[in-house]
Amino acid sequence: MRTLSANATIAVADRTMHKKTNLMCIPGLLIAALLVHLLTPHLQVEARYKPSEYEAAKETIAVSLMGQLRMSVGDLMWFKTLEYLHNGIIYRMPTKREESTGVHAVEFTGMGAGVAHKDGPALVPDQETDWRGVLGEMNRNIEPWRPGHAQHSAPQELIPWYQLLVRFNPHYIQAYTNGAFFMSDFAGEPEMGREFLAAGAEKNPWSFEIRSALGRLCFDYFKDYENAVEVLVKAVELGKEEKRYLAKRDDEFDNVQEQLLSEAYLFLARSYVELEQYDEALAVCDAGMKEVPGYNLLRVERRIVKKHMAGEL
Amino acid sequence: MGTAVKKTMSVAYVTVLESVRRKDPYVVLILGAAMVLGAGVFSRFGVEGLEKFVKDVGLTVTTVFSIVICVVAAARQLPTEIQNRTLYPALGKPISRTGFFLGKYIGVGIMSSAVVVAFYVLLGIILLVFRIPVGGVFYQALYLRVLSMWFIAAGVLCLSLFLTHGANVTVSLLACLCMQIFAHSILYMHDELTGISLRLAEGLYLVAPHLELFDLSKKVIHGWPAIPLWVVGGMTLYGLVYTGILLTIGCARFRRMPL
Repeated sequence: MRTLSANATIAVADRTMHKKTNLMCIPGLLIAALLVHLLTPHLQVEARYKPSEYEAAKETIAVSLMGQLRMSVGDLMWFKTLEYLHNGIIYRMPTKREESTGVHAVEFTGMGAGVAHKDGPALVPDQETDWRGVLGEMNRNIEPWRPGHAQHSAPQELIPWYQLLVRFNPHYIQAYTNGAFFMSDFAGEPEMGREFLAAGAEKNPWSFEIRSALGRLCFDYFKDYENAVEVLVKAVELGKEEKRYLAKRDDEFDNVQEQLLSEAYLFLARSYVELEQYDEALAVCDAGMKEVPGYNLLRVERRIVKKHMAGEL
Repeated sequence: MGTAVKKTMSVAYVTVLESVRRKDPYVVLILGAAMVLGAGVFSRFGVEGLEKFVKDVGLTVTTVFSIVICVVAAARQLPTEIQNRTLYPALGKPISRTGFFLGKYIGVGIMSSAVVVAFYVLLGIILLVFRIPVGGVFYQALYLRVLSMWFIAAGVLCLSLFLTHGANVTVSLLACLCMQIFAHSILYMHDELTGISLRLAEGLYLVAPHLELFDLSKKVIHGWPAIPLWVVGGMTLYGLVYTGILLTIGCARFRRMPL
């Protein structure tokens, strides 16, 4: 009897101790959270790489493996933005057989070079070509599907995905430029776009693309010409550097990069014009026409600058 | 007959009770908090017209975690009973192995359905708070998701009689979460295939249980209208046929299994 009573007392004591231990965890967790909050800014080191360092880092095995994961998540989110753009319908590239029968992917450039892509037929086949019978008919009703060419939704719905994408991969340059473009031009939130690009420029100090987009935003929405000049001068400098770097590797700019460098020259010239620094504007137009000879808006801008200098405007 | 049903329902009741005691429903609360957190991320963006993102986060969380809960709960039922030797006294009472198996299935089905309903109620509240409209397709999505829980429970319980616990969980989760990739891959490749490989791909596609057809979340996210009722009816029939086949195989195996 005494043993039983002693056991019961021990059990009660155990339970009480257990509860106390559990309760003691709460202040411990709170203190840990407070310490993390206080110490993180002092311990955190922001990675800053030059293009050469970034390229070298990509070639190391460990960084490459972790980078693959980061790129994969980033790419998945990139696909998510396309899914949103197509209202959930999945499109695919035409097969060789389809191409031989005249089915081709259609180039979509409606919202700027950043979201340019090709739309082929829908992945879920239409009634005429479907081999699945009733199952196919149910599939067409259950998955988003519509016949004909792709239609595109309001692009501001893509914004959260760009925000998330850069959290997973802060070096996904096109996510910054596209996201900011949609924030300012479609969602009517230029300030948000500026903050987004500024954060991107801080994380990617080698990127001329982000600076070009930021300069355009300062010019177009904030009429902040002095800041635009500062940002765009750097953009042009980095852009030229990047172009030389790619040329050494027998590579060249893609369409988006070409457009962003062209715009960097254009908005830099325009900013100088607004600041009435016509000589600098003319020099930028000349330099730009050499660097991106196919960009006709620079020729137009040059004529405008000339007229300003002649006092005709 | 009445007594047999009563006994089966008792096993189902105990299964649900055991899940509650194992604190499975708490997972719902934790995941609900994750959904609210997702919505919190949305509110940080501060741009109007981003309803799709909230629905996407909510429905993705709901789909993934309801499947995980259903698979984990179904996979442990019979192996745990056998390992803990609690199966023997249960079968010692006058209940058939079929009754016991069906009782377990009904219990898991009820528990998983309750989890899905709880998720959708939570999501519905969040959407209501953000004043995001949901059409009839939202309720159709709920119905099909509940239906898929019963389908998955049958498949996992059946597999638990053939595979080890770990293998069952892995195979079932892969099958549930990757079925869409499998179906899309065959659709994508179909045009390039010829001869025997084409027939094989078509056969595989038609025989495989298409869990992705129970998922209307994309239609909800992108604001599509409700689907025709014949499709809902068709999916109900599709689910019932596959569930019936899986339960028959499971019962037959359980009856003949040496314990």
